[in-house]
Amino acid sequence: MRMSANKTTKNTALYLIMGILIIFFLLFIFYYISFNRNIHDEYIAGSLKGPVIFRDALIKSLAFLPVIIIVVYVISFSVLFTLRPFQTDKFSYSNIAVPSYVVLIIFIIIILLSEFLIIPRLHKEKAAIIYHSKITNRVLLYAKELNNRQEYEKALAVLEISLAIDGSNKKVRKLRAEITDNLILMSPVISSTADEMKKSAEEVTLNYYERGRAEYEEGNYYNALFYLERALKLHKDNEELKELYRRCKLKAENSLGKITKEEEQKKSLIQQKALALEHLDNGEYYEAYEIFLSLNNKFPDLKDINLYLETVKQELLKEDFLPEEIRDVEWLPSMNNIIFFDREGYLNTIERAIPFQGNFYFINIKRYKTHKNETKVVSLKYGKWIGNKIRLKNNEGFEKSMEKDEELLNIYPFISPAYLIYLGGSGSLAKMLNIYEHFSLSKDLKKSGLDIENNLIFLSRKMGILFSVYFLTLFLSSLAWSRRSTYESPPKFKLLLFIIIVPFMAYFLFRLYINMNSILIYSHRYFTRFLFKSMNTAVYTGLINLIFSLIATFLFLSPGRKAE
Amino acid sequence: MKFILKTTIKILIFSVLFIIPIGLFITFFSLSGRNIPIWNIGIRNILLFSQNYSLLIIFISYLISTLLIISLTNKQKVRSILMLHIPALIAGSILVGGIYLTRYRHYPLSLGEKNVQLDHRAFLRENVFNDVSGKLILIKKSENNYYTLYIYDRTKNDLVIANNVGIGTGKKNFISISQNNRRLNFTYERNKKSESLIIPYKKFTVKNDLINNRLINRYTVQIRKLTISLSNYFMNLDQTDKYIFLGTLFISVLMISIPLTYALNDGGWGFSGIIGVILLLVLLPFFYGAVFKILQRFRFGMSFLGRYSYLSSPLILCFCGFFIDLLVKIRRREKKI
Repeated sequence: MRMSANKTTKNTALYLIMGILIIFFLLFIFYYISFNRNIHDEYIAGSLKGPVIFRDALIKSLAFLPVIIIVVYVISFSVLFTLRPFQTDKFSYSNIAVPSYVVLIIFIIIILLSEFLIIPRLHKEKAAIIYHSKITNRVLLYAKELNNRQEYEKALAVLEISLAIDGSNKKVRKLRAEITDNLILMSPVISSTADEMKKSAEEVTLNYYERGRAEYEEGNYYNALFYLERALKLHKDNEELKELYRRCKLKAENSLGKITKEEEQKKSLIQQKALALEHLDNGEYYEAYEIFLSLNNKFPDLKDINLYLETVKQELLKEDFLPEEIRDVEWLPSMNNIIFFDREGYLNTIERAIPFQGNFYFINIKRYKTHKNETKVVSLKYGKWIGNKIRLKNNEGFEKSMEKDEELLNIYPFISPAYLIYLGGSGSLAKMLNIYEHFSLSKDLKKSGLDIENNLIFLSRKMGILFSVYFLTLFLSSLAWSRRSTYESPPKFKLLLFIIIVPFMAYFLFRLYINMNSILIYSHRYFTRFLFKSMNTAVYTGLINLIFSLIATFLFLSPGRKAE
Repeated sequence: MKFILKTTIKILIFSVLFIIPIGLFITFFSLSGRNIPIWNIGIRNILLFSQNYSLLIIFISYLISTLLIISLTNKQKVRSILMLHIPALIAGSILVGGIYLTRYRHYPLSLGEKNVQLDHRAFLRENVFNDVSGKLILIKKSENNYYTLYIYDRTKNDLVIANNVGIGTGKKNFISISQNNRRLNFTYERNKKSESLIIPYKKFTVKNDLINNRLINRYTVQIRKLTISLSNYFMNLDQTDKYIFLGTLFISVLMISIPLTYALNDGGWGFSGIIGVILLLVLLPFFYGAVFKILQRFRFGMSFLGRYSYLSSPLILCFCGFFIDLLVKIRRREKKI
């Protein structure tokens, strides 16, 4: 006896879970095939087509999961559970009600996860794949162009960008093979480049002290100074090093003293270099850069100046950027026409935004500020996300800006660039935000100008979906059971009609409930006008939905109405 | 007698209960068809506008309630199929009487006269960019109670900023609504020249999945076709004849749907009856559309009816209903239910 009750319970859970999963899978296949037929090859690069369609089909199927659950429950409670495998001698309603209830709760948790986490993640991944696809398409065009211009190495480097994203792309691999063949024909050039590279690597491996000592011993005091200065920075307390540096400096100054007119320049060089080094030590990088750059232009052969210049550049790149960095990636596809307000009240428009390898580059930026009915506009050519701002500039190289221009040359947005680049799209960003992001970003996104729901309304809408599944499933199942088929096998024609119509009925009732929830959200403003002024939207809609759900739970679980 | 009374009361109660959801659905459906955003117009507007459809709302509530009650009736308690029509007719008469007393005697309600009062806030949310057909439009209240208007053309990266924008015409820069043409007009000065951006309502409306889907659209098109076809029939009739025509048509709907609902109701399986109701509601407009089309094509008329020959089509439909009644009755007798 006990065994048969357990079997019914097990069968109930199994049939419900399998029914929902099978329909979900079939629906997924249907959407996959349907999207596959309608997607254009120009839109998505070959091998990335599958992942995009997979995500699209999954999003659509997950959005239909509530309807699938309702359909499976209604069919089960009106027909399936009345059939022989369930109707054993000791059948009791609780044998099917309890497992059904547990399965429903499990699926509601799945819907919760899907609405709050999975679907936004799929949207985000889809957007990334589509952007990668744009990169692949652009890479192919650009690499072909470079190949025609016989810039093979650059073309290969460009193709590597695409292969890093999508290694299996046949078109890219074919083009790479073609360019590699072309490059082999130019092998002497390659070997010489390789030799140079080897040489430079060897140079780097020598440590500063050894190099400095070697230069000193060869009588190249000036060059020795550079290496020893660097070594001193690393080993400040090394007496031997200090002594060598002192002697080297003396020798260098003496040697300069001996030389007359020509070396006057070098004397000034030493002085300027000392000044630049002082700036460098004080963190005044723009000033140091200016001196080192001028020295480098005058004495291009002096390796130390060149290396100091590189050091200053590295420091400056933490706060600033060079437009050539943007020009290198300008050919990449971009997110276009972005508009947003920033923390300082400017309205900014950006013609192109290029996210690439963790960096965000911006081209053609306009900043508008309205004050007392007058609008001022500033146009800037380049921008790069550095730290917590977009650094802007029109000029080449590094130039210290005037203090009054600082405000114009830095945009402080409310949100990070990963979200900012989607501010030109039509509502796509809101779909990509998971619950955590929605809660943490919605205020800032709204301040930026994005039309996004506030957190409580967002929560109320999502609750509406969960409650709709709970209420409709339990209520309709309860109704179906009270009007269940008493035949061993229901009349075939009516069963066919039933199976055809139930999915549509479930869909419309589900949409109707969602709309009713929207009406509840809307009515909140009238409710708080007259009663409970401080009650928030989520609590208000949650409570009303809870009342419906309790009624449905009572109907579903009350054994009295379902006496077998 | 007890059965008739009980069923009538049930039909009346459910008719009243259904008025709210069906009223909301029809009102939303109509507003959506007019491209008016339903979530921003205020509850007063919705209630006023729903009055335009009060008759239709009551009729559909009554029809659904009747069919649902019949579909769930215990077949053992129904002595005769013809008896099933009586509660529906009584409930219908009570509702018609009620409508007559309230509407035509005291005129508290008006049909198709109430217009929705709209302002820019129905279409535009302040302080955020409203995405409208490739343009992002933002309005921001300024200190002097005017607005600053930002229109950003996303396709061209072109931004217009207009200050001192008033609502309604009369200012240099303004936003106005043309209810007749169903569009919004943004007029602003740019480079010392006046420019206008005109956007129809429909560009602002967010599509509702419940209303804007293929099935509902197909159904709506059919209902529209049927309405046009019907109006061709009684356009030239005087008021009394119109009522007689619509009354007969109404009876024909009951005569056809009641026996079919009863037939689809399975004593041992209540849900098949509910499914039958849905099926009937879906198929009836298509059936009526087809019948009117055929009758129109063959210019069918019953000359012996004299001045009432306009009733030939609804009477044919009544006859169809009567025929279905007979069929169900015969089949019932065969099954000895």
